[in-house]
Formats: sequence, structure tokens, C-alpha cells
Amino acid sequence: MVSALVTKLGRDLWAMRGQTLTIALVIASGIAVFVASLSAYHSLVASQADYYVVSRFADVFASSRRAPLALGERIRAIEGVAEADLRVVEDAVIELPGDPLPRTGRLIGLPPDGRPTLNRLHLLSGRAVEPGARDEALVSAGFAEANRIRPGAIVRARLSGRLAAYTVVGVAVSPEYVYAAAPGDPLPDDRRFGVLWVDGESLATAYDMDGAFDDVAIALAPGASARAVMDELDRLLARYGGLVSYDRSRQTSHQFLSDEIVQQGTMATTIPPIFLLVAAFLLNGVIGRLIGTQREQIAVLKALGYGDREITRHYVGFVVAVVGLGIGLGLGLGLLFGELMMASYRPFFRFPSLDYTLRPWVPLVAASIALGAGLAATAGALRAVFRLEPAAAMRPPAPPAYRHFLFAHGSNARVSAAWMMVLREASARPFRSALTLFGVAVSVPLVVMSLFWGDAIDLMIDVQFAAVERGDAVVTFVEPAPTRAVRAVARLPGVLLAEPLRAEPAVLRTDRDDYRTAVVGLPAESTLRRLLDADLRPVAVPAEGLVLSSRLAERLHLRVGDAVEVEILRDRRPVERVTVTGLVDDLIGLSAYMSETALARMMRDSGRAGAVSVRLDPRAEGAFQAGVLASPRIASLGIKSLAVENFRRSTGAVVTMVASVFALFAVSIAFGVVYNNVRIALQEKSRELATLRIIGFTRLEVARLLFASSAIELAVGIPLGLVLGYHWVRILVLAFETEMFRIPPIVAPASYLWSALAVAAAGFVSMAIVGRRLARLDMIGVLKERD
Amino acid sequence: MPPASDLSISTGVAPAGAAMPSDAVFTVRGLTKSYRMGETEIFALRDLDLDIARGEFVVLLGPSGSGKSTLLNILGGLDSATSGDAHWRDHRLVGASQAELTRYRREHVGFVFQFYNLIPSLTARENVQLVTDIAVTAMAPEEALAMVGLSERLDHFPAQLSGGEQQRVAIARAIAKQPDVLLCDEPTGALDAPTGVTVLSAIETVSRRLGTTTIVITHNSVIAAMADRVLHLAGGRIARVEVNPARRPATELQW
Ligand SMILES: Nc1ncnc2c1ncn2[C@@H]1O[C@H](COP(=O)(O)OP(=O)(O)O)[C@@H](O)[C@H]1O
Ligand SMILES: [Mg+2]
Repeated sequence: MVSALVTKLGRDLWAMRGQTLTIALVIASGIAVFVASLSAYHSLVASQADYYVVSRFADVFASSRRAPLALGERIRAIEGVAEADLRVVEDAVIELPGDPLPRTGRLIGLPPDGRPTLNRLHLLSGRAVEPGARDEALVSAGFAEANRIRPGAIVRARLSGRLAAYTVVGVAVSPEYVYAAAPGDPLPDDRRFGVLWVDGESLATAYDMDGAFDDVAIALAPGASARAVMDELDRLLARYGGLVSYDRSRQTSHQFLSDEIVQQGTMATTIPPIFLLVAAFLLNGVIGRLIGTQREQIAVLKALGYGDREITRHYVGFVVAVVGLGIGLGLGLGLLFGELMMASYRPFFRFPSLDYTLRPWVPLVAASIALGAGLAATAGALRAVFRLEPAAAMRPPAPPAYRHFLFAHGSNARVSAAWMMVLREASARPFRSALTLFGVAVSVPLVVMSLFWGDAIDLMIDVQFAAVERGDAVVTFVEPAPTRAVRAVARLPGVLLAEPLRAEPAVLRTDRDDYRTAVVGLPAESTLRRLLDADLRPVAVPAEGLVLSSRLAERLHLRVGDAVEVEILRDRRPVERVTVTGLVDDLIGLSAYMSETALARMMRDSGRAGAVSVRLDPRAEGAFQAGVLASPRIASLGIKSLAVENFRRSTGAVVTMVASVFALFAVSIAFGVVYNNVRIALQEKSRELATLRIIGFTRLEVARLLFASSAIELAVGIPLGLVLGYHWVRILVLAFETEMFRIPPIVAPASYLWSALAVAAAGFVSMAIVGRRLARLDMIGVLKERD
Repeated sequence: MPPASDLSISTGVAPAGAAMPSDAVFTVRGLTKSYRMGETEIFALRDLDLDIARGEFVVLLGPSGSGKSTLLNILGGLDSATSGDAHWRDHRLVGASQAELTRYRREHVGFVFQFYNLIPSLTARENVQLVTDIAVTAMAPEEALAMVGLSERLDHFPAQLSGGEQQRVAIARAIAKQPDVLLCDEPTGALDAPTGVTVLSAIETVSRRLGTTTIVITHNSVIAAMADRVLHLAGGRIARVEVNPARRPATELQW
């Protein structure tokens, strides 16, 4: 025999299914975002950690111009070095048969047995390079996928002027290229950049490196100091044109991957908790109000002899059912969207496998917060009812002290009585509206934050690829070349304008700190590469002194007018103290800029260029590309339109995915809150509204009265939410800033508009649904009830 | 009462007494209202015929569940019938659309209920204004309240008024539009005798002064003396009709 209370529980849940579902939806949204983001983040962290261990990812890296293999003995003897892998690494232009687009390849020499002991390769398909097979190559997974290269395909590389043809025997991933971005590119572009692992000896021969290496990867012994090893390594390599060695934190793939993981982590630990807390707070309010509407029933139960404990158990059951539904729904959706987010990372992060990981505490925390919020609300609302004598509780709550409005006093009132009703209710119970208002006001910034990511990408593209890089393509030389090489590029077909770019590896030192970066030399009247200040105004390249990215200045605690020691890590390694003469606001990377002539003076040469930025005649692009392929000294070609397209496609896919999921849940929260509040308002006012209908008010008139307050709450809450959104985004980007990226906190007006519209739509849909109920308002039933 | 009149009503022939069929504003024919409860059908009204004349004061008496409220609600455009016909003048009350019924209520009907159904957030004056705001031929709220003797309480909220006063506000609200029809469902049901008398006096005054057709439901047979005609309902039918030669003023009633 089911007890009457249990029957009531079931009936109540069913009778209030609209509310039950939408409350569940609010909390489910919070939980889903929380679980999806955190599980995706944890999956990345776990995949990275596992893969680094399994593949024996090196700890320290260095490159030099040409060091004898015999130096290996001394490198391995450095205290703290467990293992060292000496190799030849070269960048070269790559051609695919039947495709005119020049690609950039990084060729890495394999040891004689074809299997490096550090940075081990994982084969996705095909086989390893046979020992001594000079014409076999493994290609990186992203490049293979983007260009549909399968084992058996032919890839040609221009090795120091000589064209070598490789047969692809396998597709591999490497811990060094999980995130495979071409040198200097902010994002991986799998179509245009690939890694080729080839026979080491023949690669060395092609570059005149027999018996020598130009790159070393080192695994540290447990407990070894990376700093000490790096210092010693630098000392050993200095004579051989060694660049400053670096640890994982400056290894490109690791750095991008870690930044990305940090960003995912930030994303997962900032926005979703806000979602969850907002949802929990709203759940609390809605459940409190819902139980408030049951006070007469509670009083009757008490009058019948039910104790507080039984009644509490009854409502706890109710809340657990509602919140439990939300938790179940939220976890389900969270897992689903977590997997989807993971899937959107796959093209970015080339792990052997990217497995979905859900740490048990994530759903536990989410469920506890939801349940806690629901139960706290129940306790609060029940306590308020229990304080009353049953007899008092059975009467409707004493009406609040309604106020006379001076402007509307007496018979010359300008306000109709019906609107007076709305006004008085609102002024007598100012906090009743607060919940809806708050719900609306916090859902808007949730949508704004979601849409903001798209704006950020658009802005980065606008700034980076339109305002900063104004050329159409950049060609990079195999080695820094004298100015006549720039003129040679300028003579290539289709080139309208060519400007040299010189980037020298350098260390900037202050008393407290140092930072390895590149000093970029620019022509005084540089037009294809511009420096911009925080307001995107061009900054002239000064004849003397150094211009720094403002984040680099911050990092080194430098201000305009301060001096900094600059060591260029090439040739004779000149060291000079240079004054910081200006700051620029780079979005990507931390760089230092000098005038081309000042840099040449420092290097004591007549000016060299590592790359050339060119403006192209759009009709002659094909001829230009053919020209590049025919130029032996060009190592790579970056085409801006392709970079932009790639940026939009790759980042766009992830961001759109995440943003739309977030926005969807944000709107669900707004919907759930507005719906419940309108629905409860209908319940509370149904008697009055039925009376109005009896008196002869039309359905529309009654609806207007019921929804007036909701409409006002929306009208006030949405602008408030937009202001909140503006500030939240400013705070948010601070959390997201990494060394590589700065995200400008600029939300497009359209995003504000869409956020406002989405929440308004959620509000109006709620009203429309409740409005249908209004049509079914029971005029007769209400008359049978007492006041 | 002669049993003939009972018969004449149930057969739809014009009733004897005050009501002139030519004057009939309400005409009800074969009105049936039933509720289906699973297998069984419960009849609230069974094949009921009735004519009510303009300005007539009718009291409905009968045991609980006999169908009084159902009849009143259908006549007031608040409820639908299962079959049969009911008209007020040329307004169809059975089978009319919601919009038509709303217009009928808005323009012609005033309601008074046992539970006063006042809006708590509105003062007495404003509760009445609620009606005058939307009515065409409305009197001033103050005038309506004066008719029920509440001139002194214009700016009081319902919570600040006694039950009798609240009911008189409800009456003022019902009559402020100068309705053609005043429908009262147990208006004194929640009141003590002296207060009940004041309320009934108010209804009486209004119906006399405005010539309103008035139907009052009550359990209290004493009140029947106020009426031109008393209809006794039982089992969804009019069991008996009494015609009073003269209406007794409410102030003379005692119970
Ligand atoms: N919504 C309903 N569902 C089922 N039966 C109803 C409903 N409303 C009224 N009834 C039945 O109709 C009959 C007449 O009710 P009513 O007109 O309210 O009686 P009275 O006003 O004379 O007390 C009663 O038997 C009642 O049980
Ligand atoms: Mg009744």
C-alpha cells in the first residue's frame, strides 16, 4: 500500500512536470558544461602525461650550426644527462606530385636502426624506415591526413638545392610534434607543414653534415637540474654555432600544447563553475519559491497530524527527484559534449590516441553542489512554514503593506486599476522579482562569454593578418641571406612589393630575469609588417633602441627608457645594452623589434634577411609559387590567405563547438528561470486573474497583466546582463592570457545583440507556454476556493 | 403554490406569476450539464427550462449539489452546457466562443460570490475601478461604493475591511458597470445575520434602482422572501416554483 504522501509526491511531480523539467534543465545545463569542460581538459592532461612517458619525450633541446658527433661523448658525460639523441634537423620546401603549392617540411634524421630512443615514433600506419633506406620516409599524421598521403606516396624535398624523392612508408606521431606548427606560425596548418623522418646519414650528407649533428635532444636523469645541464650544454655547443638550449617549456609543440591545455583548464575552471553556481543559485531560488506555494498544503498536513520530519522527508523526496533528474540529464549531456569537445581537439593534438577520461570527483562535485543547493532551499522554505502555527499557515500569507501612490490617489487616478495591481505587487514585494531579474541578468553574460570566443578569433585575424601582417606571403630562406637575395625574391613573378624580415634568436637579460626570444629587424618604413600599439595605431620603428611586446616588457619588468642587455645567439654572439624606446601590443608571441640598420650594426654585417614579406599580384599567384619552388635558397613559403583560412577552420571548429554548447546551456538556464518564475506567478495570481476574467477582462488583457512584471524583469535584467557580460569578459581574458596569446576583451556588438535576443526569446517562449495555461484558467474552480 | 405552475415550467410553458414571457431576457430550454466520471455520468443539470423576465429578482434554493451554481455559472457565461440552449436576449450562452462570452460578461453581467474574490493589492475604490476601467456605461467607483454604504472606506485595502464590508465592495464592483444582470452565489454564506442583511439590502437597492435582473443563490429560505420568484432546485431540475405576491425588504429579514 503506497502511502498517501508518496502518491502526492508522484502526482505533484507529474502535475508540475513543466516546472520539474525546466528546473532540471537549469541544473543540468550547469552540470553539463562543468562535466564536459573538465572531462575534456582531464582527457588532454592525461593523454599528454601518458604519451610523454611512453614515448620518452626529451627534457632538454638544443641546436647548433654544425657540431661533430664526437661531442656526443662529452654531452652524455654532463652530470644529469641520462641520454642524448644527436641528429640532423633541417627545414625544406616540400612538393607533392601534381600539386603546385609549396609546403614546408621539417626533415629529421633517424638513427641507423630507424628507431630513435628518445621522442619515439608511434606508427599509425605503414612500417618503419628500413635501416639504410635512403629514399624512405615517415610523415607526420596531420600532414598525411590533410594531404591524403598514404604509404606508397611520393614526397619530394629540396635538400639544400638538391631535389630528393622519398617514398612514404608509414605515418607516425611524435611527442615533439603533437602540436605541429610550422616555425613562426601560431597554429598548426597540416596542409602546409609536415614532418618527415628520413635516413639520418643521407640527410647529413645532403647538408654536408657527415659526421656531424645540428640538433640534440636530451633526457635528464631523475632529480637532475635542467638549468645546470643546459648551461653546460650551451658551453659545449658555443663553439659550434650553438643556440641557447631550452627545456620543454620552450619546445614549440609542448609550449603550444601546454598553453592549450592551460587554456582548456582555465576554460574548464572558470566558466563552468560559474555556470554551475549560477544554476545552483537559481535552483535554490526556484525551489524555495515552489515550496512557498505549497504552504497551505503543508499546514493541512500538519493539521492532520503529520510531523515536521515526515513533511520534510516528503519535500526532500520531491527536491531529490527534481534535482536528481537534472543531475542525470546533466551528466548524460556532459559526457556527450565532453566526447564531442574531445573529438574537436583530435585534429589539433596528434596523440597516438586521445582517450576520454572522466575523473570521478567531477560528477560527484557537480551532483553535490546541485543537491546541496536544492536541499538548502528546501530547508529554508520549510523552516519558514514550520515557524507558523498550522492555522496561520492555512491562511494565505498576510498581504504585505500595500502602498498608496500619491500620483494615483483618489478618483482622478491616471493609472487603471489593473495596472495599479501590478505596480502595487511589484512595490510591495520588490524581492519577488529579484530572482527572475537576477536569473536573466546572469544568463546574458553566460551567452556573451560563449559568443565572445568567435569575436576573439575574428579580432585576432583582423589584427594579426590584416593590420600587423599586411603582405600576402612570407618566404623564409634556408639561411639568413644577404640583401641581394631579397631583391631576387622581389623579382619573382607576381611580386609587387618585397620587404626583408630579419629575426635573430636572442636572449634579453635584466638584473632579475632573462627571456629567450627573437629580435626582429624591420625596415624603417616597414609597410608589410607593422607594429601596433594598444589602440591598434601603427608605431614607427625607431632608428635606435628596442621596441618590446608589452607582455614581454611586463615579464621582464621593463618600462620605456629602461636599458636591457641583448645577446644575439648567432655568429659572434654580440651583447649590447639597448634602451627600450617603445611598447607594442602584439596579440601573439613575445617579441623584440629593432630597426634593420641597428640590428645590422650590432651584427656587424651589411644587413641580412631570414625571410621576405611580399605583396602579390593576385592574378600571378601560381607563377609566384612556381618561382618559389624553383628557388633553391627558399626553405618555406607562408601564404596569408591559407593561414587565415586554416586559422578559421581549425580554431573556428573548436571554438564554434564549445561556444555553441555553452550558449545553448546559457539560454536553457535563462529559459528555465523565466519559465519557473512566470509559472509560479501564474499559480500565485491565478485566483486574481480568474476573477478578472469573470469580471470580463479578455484573455489578452489578463495575459498582459500577468506578463507585465516578467517583461519588466527582462527589460531591466537584459541590459544589466550586458553590462555584467562586458565586465565578465574583461576578467575572463585575464585568466586566459598565456605567454603566447593575448586575447583582446572586445565583444562584437552583434554578440551583445544576439545574447540579448537569445535571452529575450527564452523569456518570451516561457511566457508563451505559460500563456497557453492562462487560456485554460479555471474560472469556476477558483470560485469554490476560499480566499 | 399550485402544482400546476411546477408542471408548466418543466414542460416549458410560460410560468404563472410575475414573469411575463414576452419580457423574458433569459430563455433556457432543455439545458443539461453532465460530468463523466469514468463509467458513470453525473448530471448537474437535467433538461432544464426557464424564463426570467427583465428586472425580475429570482432566488435559487436547494440542497448542496442540486445544480444551483452550475445554472448560475451558465447564465453568467462562465460555464458550458452539455446540451440544450440558453440565451440572454440575443446572446447565445451555450456554444458561444470564449470571446463572445467574455464580451457578454464584460458588458452585461455583475457577479458576487460567497468568497469575495477581491484583489488584495487594490483598495476598495480600485477594486471597483477594475470594472469601471473596462465598462462602457459605468458609474463612478465612489457612487457604487456609496450605494453599498461604503463611502467612508474608499481607500482601504481588503485586508483592512471586515467580511461584510468586503462583500459589499464585491457588490459595488459587480454593479458599478450598471449591469443588466446581477448574479450572486451565496453572497451571505460567509457572513453573520446582521452583516448578511446589510449585504442583501445593498443587492436589493441596486436591483431596484437600476432595474437589474437579479439571481441570488442561497441556502437560507428566509432570504427567499425578498424575491419575486423562488426556484427550488433538486437533482438538477426545478422541483418547485414559488411566486411571492410582494417582495419583502431585506431589512425585515431575520434568521
Ligand atoms: N467539475 C466537476 N466535476 C464533476 N462533478 C461536478 C463538477 N462540478 C460540479 N459537479 C457536480 O455537479 C453537481 C452540481 O453542482 P453545483 O452546481 O455546484 O451544486 P450547488 O451549487 O447546487 O451546490 C454536483 O453533484 C457536483 O458534484
Ligand atoms: Mg454552489
